[in-house]
Order: sequence, then structure tokens, then C-alpha cells
Amino acid sequence: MTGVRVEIVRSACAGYANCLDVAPEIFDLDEHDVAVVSAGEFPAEQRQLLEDAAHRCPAKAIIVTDAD
Amino acid sequence: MTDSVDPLMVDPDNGIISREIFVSQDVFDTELEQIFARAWLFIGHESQIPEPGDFFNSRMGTESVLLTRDSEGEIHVLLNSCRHRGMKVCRYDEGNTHDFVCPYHGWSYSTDGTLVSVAGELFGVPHYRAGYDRKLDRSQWGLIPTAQMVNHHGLIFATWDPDTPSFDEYTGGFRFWLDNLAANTAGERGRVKALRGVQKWRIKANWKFVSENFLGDNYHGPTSHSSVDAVGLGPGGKEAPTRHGDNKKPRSIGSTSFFDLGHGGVTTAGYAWGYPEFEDENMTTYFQQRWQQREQRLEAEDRPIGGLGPSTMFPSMSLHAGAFPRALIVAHPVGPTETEVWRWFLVDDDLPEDIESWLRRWYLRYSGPAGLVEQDDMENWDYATDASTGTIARRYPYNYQLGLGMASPSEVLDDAVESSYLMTEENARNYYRRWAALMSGASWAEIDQARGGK
Repeated sequence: MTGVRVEIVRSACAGYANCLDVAPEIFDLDEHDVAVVSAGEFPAEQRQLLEDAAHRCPAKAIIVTDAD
Repeated sequence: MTDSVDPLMVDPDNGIISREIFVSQDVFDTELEQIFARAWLFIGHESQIPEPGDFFNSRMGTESVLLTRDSEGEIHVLLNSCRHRGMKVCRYDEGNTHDFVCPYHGWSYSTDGTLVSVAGELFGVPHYRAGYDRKLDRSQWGLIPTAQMVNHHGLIFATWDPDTPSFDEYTGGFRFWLDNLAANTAGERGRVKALRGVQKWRIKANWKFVSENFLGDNYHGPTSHSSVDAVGLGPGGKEAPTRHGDNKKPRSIGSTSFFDLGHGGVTTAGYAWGYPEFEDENMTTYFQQRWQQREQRLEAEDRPIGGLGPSTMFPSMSLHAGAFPRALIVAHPVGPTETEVWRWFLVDDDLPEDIESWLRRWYLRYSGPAGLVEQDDMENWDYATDASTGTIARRYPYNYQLGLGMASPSEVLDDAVESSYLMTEENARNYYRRWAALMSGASWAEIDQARGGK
């Protein structure tokens, strides 16, 4: 199965922190209150969790795509 | 603002109404509190929001509300004002979205059931961790929903007051007019759709002039609309005079008033005229068939054949419930001498394309800001309001004595009185009786107790 790539659009993130509710082990906020992810790619079984986090982001700052 | 108005301002029993209620800022402010925050108000038509996520930006009184359909298909009416600093969370007339992100500070509300448990709930605020330490209780700061909402065969109504009587109780026998508005030309309820594009414009008139005009004012037709009647475009139809001064005897269509509910119509529940003849024979044949279907259906469903003409549901929604036209207008208050009027046109949801097109053009020529008949009325409403604002003018009340003491109980409806002569101000007198009852500040229970029956 194809892995999942997660990208944060830093200019869009407003620190809603909703992603932390969904996947606190994957997302965090940096000293500028902008979301960061713990890795660039994740295994396919975490796709649903990551897409939920993207869905819950009011700023649409989380982009989930297939890894190469 | 005052809590209530001087009861001497309106004297329906004697047909005397003070001009103050049409021009006073105090009275206007009280109307917002005692009438628009309590009455059932029209919000929009279900066909305007067919899909999950669809919204229509509507209005209740002076306030913006969002008519929305959530991800589960349920309809909601939400106050369009952010709970943080009051900014309109949505500034579009209509569209599709589940997220309403406030453009001021970014507070985000949703109608998506996967994000929130209640439609309109706050599901995100910027800097929730850094700024609020994740302690803000988002469940307590959602968009304000109306207290009650009803979908009456596709017509959506709502009220802010949890104590307002049920919609059925509030409308009484007037529901037959609403049923006709919601029905296609064959009488099937729930089978109409709103033509795209609600027309909105402002007039320098008190909002009650609009409501009163359609409520039962058959009196103004021959004078105000004689020129549009003369060229064959007016409300008189084939019976109308063909030139100035050529007034024929008025038809005995009667006039119905819902004595203590305040609604009214210019025709009775028992009277209906058939559909008109058209230049296009196919249209004439089509609508004759539809009329026959309508007669059979209404008889089978025990619904009265009439209730088709212009009418008003208290306080501010007026309608033409027949097909020619089938339209509604809502008079939204802006100030004592300014009103924003919104007009919808409704057509059968299964009309042949050429007939729908013909109707659309005819409706637009008849009503709305460019409609010839509406322009006649707007002249009157504007000038009457303006000429009533002066110091001297305000000392003298309006006369509502037409048909005083000439109404009798309806034989068809148990909560209405009818006038056998079509020109009467009985409807207006009863509308202002209802208006005064609400404006007194009395509770719904007190108002109900005081109802005298017909």
C-alpha cells in the first residue's frame, strides 16, 4: 500500500489546534503557533486519521497526498 | 425603546389608527422587540437549498440569518453574527459550504455532522492552545439558532420565541392560503420551486404599508392601478376597465380576515376564479387541465377551493397564492420610514420549459422593482410615508372605517370573518388589533386568553 505524505501550509495555519485533538502524536504547534508534523510520510493505515485531521482544519492548512 | 405602545394609538373598533405607528422611531424599536422577535417569519423556500451544505442568506426583522441544510439534510436557521465580535460570518447571498469561517478573527462554525454535534456549533478558534490554553468551551459559543422552525410544504418559517404558539395555531385558517402558495397549478402541495434570484430592494416607506396593501386592500386597485389595467397588464385581468374611468362593477370575491390572528386575504376561502385564457392555445389547454386536476384534488382532500388572491400572513409576509402570479414578498423593517422588500416567484416544479419561461417574464413585468403593478404601489407607500412624517400631519390619524360593522362570520372557516363586499378595511382593522395585542407586551398566554373569537 502506498504511504501518505502530509504537508502543512504554514501561511494558512492559524493555530486552531484541531489537528491536535485528532492526532496528538503526529501534530504539534511550534513557537509561532503554527502546526508541525512529526514526519513527512506515514504508513497507509494512518491515512484515515490524517484525513480526519485535514477535514477538521478550518484553515484547510493540512494537505494529505499519496507518497511517491 | 419603550416596552409597549399607548393603546390609544390604534382603535380598530372605531377605525382610527394614529400616524405615529408609521413614523415613530420608538414604535419601530418596540416592533422589533414585540413583533419581529416573537412572530413566525418567512425565511425561504426549500428548493433554494436542495443539497447538503446549501445555504441562503435570509433575514428576520433587521437581522441577517442563514437558512442552511446540514450534512444530514436537516434544515436550520442560524443568526448570521459571530459570537466573538458580531461580524457576519457569511456575506454571500447563497452558496454551498459546511464551514462558516468568520472573516474578522477566524472563529469557525460548521453544519457538518462529522465535525459538530449541533449545526452551527463553533468547531475552531485560532490560537486555541496558545491563546486560550484549550479551555474555551466551544460547545457554548455556536451560532444562535431560532427557537422554532417549520417546513410547511417547502415554505420555511421560524421564530426566535420558544413560547410562540405552534405554526398551525398561529396561522389558523390562513394555512389554506399558504397551502395554495406551496402547491402547483394542479393543487399538489410541495410541488413548487423558487425561481432563481430573489429580488431585493429598498423603499422609503414604513413596512406596514406593504403588508396592508396585500392584506385586503381591494380599495386601491381601480384608482392606483388604472393605468396598468388600461394596457391589459394590471391585476384586474379580463374584468378590468380597458380605459380610464371605465370602471365595471366590482366582482363579488369578498374579503377574508382572521379576526384575532391578524392575517387576511382579498378573496375568500370559498371563492376562486379559474385560470385565464392565453394567446397561446396550448397554454390555455394546459392550464385548463391543471385547473380540473386542482378542483378534483382539493375536493378529495377536503380543502377549500379559494384562498388564491393577494393576502398577508401577520406580520410581514404577503403572497399571491394563485399561479397568476404565484409570488411572495417580505417587508423587512429597516427603520420607521425605510423598508427592504424581498420578492420570490414560485412556479410548478414540473412545468414545460416554454411555459416556465413565459411565466418568469410575466411575473417580472408584473411585480418586483421593475414590475408595473408594484411600481404603482411603491409610489403610494413612499409618498404616504413621507407626507405623514410632518409635525402637523402626525396630529391627525388615518381613517380605517371602510366597511365598518359590515363583516360576518365565514361559512367555510371557523376563525375568520368575511365581508361580502370586496372593498373593506375589516382586514386592516383586525391586523392592527393583532398588532396592538403583541405591542402591548402581553405574553402569548395573556394574548390567547384575551382572544374573543370571531
